[in-house]
This record gives sequence, structure tokens and C-alpha cells, in this order.
Amino acid sequence: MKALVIAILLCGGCGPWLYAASTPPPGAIGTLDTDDETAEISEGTALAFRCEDAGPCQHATATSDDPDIADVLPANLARLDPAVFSGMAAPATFVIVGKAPGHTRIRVRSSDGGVDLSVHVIPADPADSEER
Amino acid sequence: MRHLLYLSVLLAGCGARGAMGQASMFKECGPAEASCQRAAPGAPLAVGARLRPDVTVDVAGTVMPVVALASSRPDVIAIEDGVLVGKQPGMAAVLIATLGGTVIDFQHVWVAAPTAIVVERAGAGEVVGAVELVAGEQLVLTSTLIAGSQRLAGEGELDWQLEGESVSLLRDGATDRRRLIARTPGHARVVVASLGVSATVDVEVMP
Repeated sequence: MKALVIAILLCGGCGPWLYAASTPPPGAIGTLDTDDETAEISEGTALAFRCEDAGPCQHATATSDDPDIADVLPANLARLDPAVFSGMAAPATFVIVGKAPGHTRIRVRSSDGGVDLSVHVIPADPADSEER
Repeated sequence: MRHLLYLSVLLAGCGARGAMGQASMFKECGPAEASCQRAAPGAPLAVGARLRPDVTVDVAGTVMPVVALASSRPDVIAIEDGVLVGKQPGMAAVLIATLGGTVIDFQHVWVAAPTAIVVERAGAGEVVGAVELVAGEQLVLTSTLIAGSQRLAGEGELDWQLEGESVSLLRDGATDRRRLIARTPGHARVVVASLGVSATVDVEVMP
């Protein structure tokens, strides 16, 4: 009971958190800042992330404001993670795909709340620094 | 909680070669699989070349689901009837997903322009200098696309040309391989070209 109260105090009102779940390939960028709710990825790069709120987010969905810049797809990670309120649960996982240079937002919604992730896709070729 | 997350992310990276550790498009070549090693399935794909991936999925509690591939940059790697096609130099993520669109895993694949072709004797390394044969002798030649110091993956359009009548050059069903048969004493030259690069092998048939 004590742990439950502490968990509620710690997590209540914090909202879900997004965590990177893959690493970028050599020479490319693929980062997700959990605290700042921002992601930066190179054009053509994919980055997996998970939605957590004292365990995997429940009934999570994700949509992109501009899928032509950064698309987001549901993903499946075949394992169970500890969940404070429900024991164990499959991770709520998604994959961002950098399609073209630019900025957009990925909106993650779940029973635990929502996060708007600001996504910056940078050109694959550094010489091609001007965004389309 | 965060330490647990970091640990689980690290563990997810072990085992299979996909970024999520659940699938791979390229099988590991065994030490005795010469043809597999020659094909270099995990190497960068040559511009203009095609590579049929060997997708395997390792998800506990399920056999391999029906999957579809998708490219993050079709201008770099296109997916045509399940085959990866190198379009231009660059890098793209190839997503392995269910038919319903749920991503199981993904791998980043590079495409490079070939800078050379290397001709090899099957199972015996690169051909250096002229080849000498006696009439009736056979030699299997294979060709490999190279970019810098790397072998490139994929099958490109290879053009095999034979100059001279001392030897015959026979197809054996593979675009990257020909069987050379010495016929009569004399000189011949084999030229193989693909994607803007070529290699030449001089052949002398001894009496």
C-alpha cells in the first residue's frame, strides 16, 4: 500500500513519458529527449520509442501532424514490462520514420494522458542544409 | 524505473540484427557457404542492383507472421515485389511490418555506387594477371561489385563479353557467374561490365 501511495504521488499528474527504444545508424541522428518532449532524426532514419507512465501506456495511439515529414507507426515489442497498477503489460511502442526535412508534431494519446512530441527531421546530406 | 527501461532497451538490442532485436532481413553466412559469402547479403546494396532479402522474425510465442517491407526513402531503396532495389547512394530504413502495418523491426540499409568489379575464380580468390589453361580445361569465373574496400550486395545487370575464339563462355543460370571452357590454343579476353565499371581477364590456351 505504501509503495502504491508513493507511486501515485510520484507519477500522478506527470503524464506519460516517451523513451527512445532504438539507436540511430552510424553517421545519422536519432534522438528523443524525454524531458523536453522533442526528437531529432535524420531523413531516412527510423527511431523506435515507448510510451510509459508507471508502466506501459494503456490504449496508446500516435499520429503525425505531417506524415510527409515524419510518419509514425505502431510497433510490437514482444515482451512484458512491469506496470504499477496492472502487474505486467506489453510495452506501448511506436516507430518514427524521418521522411523529409522539416518540423512536425507526433501526438501520442493514451488512457494515461497525452504527449505532443516535437520532431525535427534533418537532411540526410549535411551539404543539403536547406530544408525543402 | 528509468534504469529498468535502459536495461530493457540494451537487452532488446542483443541477438537479432534488427534495431528492435526481433527480425532480420539478411541471414548470417556460414563458413562453408561460399555463395552466400560472395553475395555479401549484409553489405551495402549497389546502385541499380536488386537483392531479395531473407526475412526472419524471432518473436516468442509465434511462428513467423506474414510480413511486408517498406522503405523510408523509396528514392534510395525501392521495394519492388519484395525485392530491395538500390536507386541512388544513401541510407534508408527498411521496415519489417505485418500486413496490418504494425512494425516488428527495422534495419538501416546503405546504397553505394560501385567503383570496380572484381573477377574471381570460384572458391579460389581474385583473378590476378592472365589465366593459362590447356584445351579442354574449365574454369568458373564469378564477378563481384566493389565500392572502395567493400563488397556490394545485390544482383546488377552484368554484361559478359568474350573476345577471341579459343575459349567458350557459358551461362550457368547465375548473372554473376560464367563457365570458361578452353577450346583451342590461342588468346582470348573476357570483359565483364556493370553499372559503369568493368574488369578484364586475359586467357591463354596452351597447346
